Amino acid sequence: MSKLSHRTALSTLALIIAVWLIAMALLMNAAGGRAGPGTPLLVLFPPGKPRLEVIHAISRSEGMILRDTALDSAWFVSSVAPGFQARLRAQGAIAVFADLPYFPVILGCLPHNAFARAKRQLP
Amino acid sequence: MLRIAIILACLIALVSFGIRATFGLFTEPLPAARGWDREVFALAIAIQNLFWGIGQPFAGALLNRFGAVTVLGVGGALYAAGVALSAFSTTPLELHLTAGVLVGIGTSGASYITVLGALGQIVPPERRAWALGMGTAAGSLGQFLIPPLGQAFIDAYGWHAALLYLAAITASMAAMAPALGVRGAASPPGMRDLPTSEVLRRAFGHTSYVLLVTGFFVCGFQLAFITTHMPPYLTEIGYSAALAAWAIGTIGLFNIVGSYIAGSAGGRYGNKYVLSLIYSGRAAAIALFLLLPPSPITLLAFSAVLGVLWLSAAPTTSGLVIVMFGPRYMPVLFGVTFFSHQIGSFLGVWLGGVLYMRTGSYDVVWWLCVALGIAAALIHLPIAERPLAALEPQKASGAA
Repeated sequence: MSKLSHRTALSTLALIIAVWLIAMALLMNAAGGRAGPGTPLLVLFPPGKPRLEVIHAISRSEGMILRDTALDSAWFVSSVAPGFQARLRAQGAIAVFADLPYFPVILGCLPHNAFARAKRQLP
Repeated sequence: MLRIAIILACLIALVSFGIRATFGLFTEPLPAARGWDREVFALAIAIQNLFWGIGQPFAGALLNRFGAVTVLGVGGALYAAGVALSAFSTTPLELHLTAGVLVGIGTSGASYITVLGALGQIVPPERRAWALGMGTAAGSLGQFLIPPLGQAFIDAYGWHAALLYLAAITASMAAMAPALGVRGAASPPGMRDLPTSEVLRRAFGHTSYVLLVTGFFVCGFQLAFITTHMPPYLTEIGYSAALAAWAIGTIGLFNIVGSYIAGSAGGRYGNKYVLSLIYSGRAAAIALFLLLPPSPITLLAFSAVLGVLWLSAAPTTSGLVIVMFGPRYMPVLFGVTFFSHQIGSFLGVWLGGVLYMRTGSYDVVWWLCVALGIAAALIHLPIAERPLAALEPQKASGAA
């Protein structure tokens, strides 16, 4: 078996995964927009934004922090006030994700029960 | 050109296998929205599987007659129409005709089995085993990647729009099909095909082919039983639902690797030996899983091993058909082999339920899987892995 064949397989796989990740990110972002008030959301701010600024942005969006993550720009948040996702985006959030049954499969880097644990922090 | 054809063939396999795997996601929302029992939807999926199994040998025969472009194109279009129309089905009969009959027939035309048949014909012998492995691995990858996409569509836009989006993805198969119009060594110009009945008569005249068809029945039995009955079995013996979901995910992930490796290994070490190893490996893994005390590590290790051995029988079985009878009639003969696989699937699911109701446990069927695995490992050994029958196309009268 020539290296070229395995290289073709690997590059095809990489291309498929890249397209899939982009599609999933867009869809999960769209799903986040449909989440009702009081639902745990994973909000993503631009990487490199200082931790304190992110906390302020969430606060200005009338949001409540449920849990942090390994990334300073990603937080589990919630709000009972309608229009929370729009306010987060107005404060600079680049994506807002709602829970999905396949979430652990999609983001293997997150603990598989991340959303469940965030939900437990709700009052 | 050939490389692009192989990549697009893999994408067709990915979409075809992946979209089928998303139907389970509609089990709850679709019947609920229409006010039906889930049985209505379950029957549609059962009809779909039946039509796929019956249609596959015919799709193989049509592949030889009309070519991969036509069969995959028409199959993809019917498949997409079935998915789209199931969103508009307002009576159980309509759903059975769309999600059941139409998708089932479309699937047989644009299944990964048809893709393997097309690849067998267009890829030169030295790269054929690799291409068959890659096609199967792409199908496995679709089963792993498309359901989360389907779920995300449902969550973002609702089940009705999700079906239409998935139909659009399905329709892409018809658009990609023309890339498989590459004329391979198996399709020499000016040659006349043998009638399908004659091909089958000659193939079944060889014990090796009968053994291969029998072996693939075991594959279907084991896989369908495990797919359907493993999740409830795991929760029954004390595993959490989350861990059961991780087990299924692990199978899907390792399946991609296993399919690819098996294809390459079959070409290098001999398909029948790899097949024997696959079935004995499954038997050993199941036996160990049943005998060892339940623990998360045992479960995930079992799932990983099972994943590696999951669809790896497909590229090796199709590879063996090509070695024995040549690539020309591989789509028909592998289609028949696959029909045997589907009968095994039906019995695996059905017997799993029946024996559970009679004995109150899945143990009998698990051990039946072990016994069948050992039997399948043994029956592949006497198979003659060499050209068996002169099934080459005949020179057409008057041809140059």
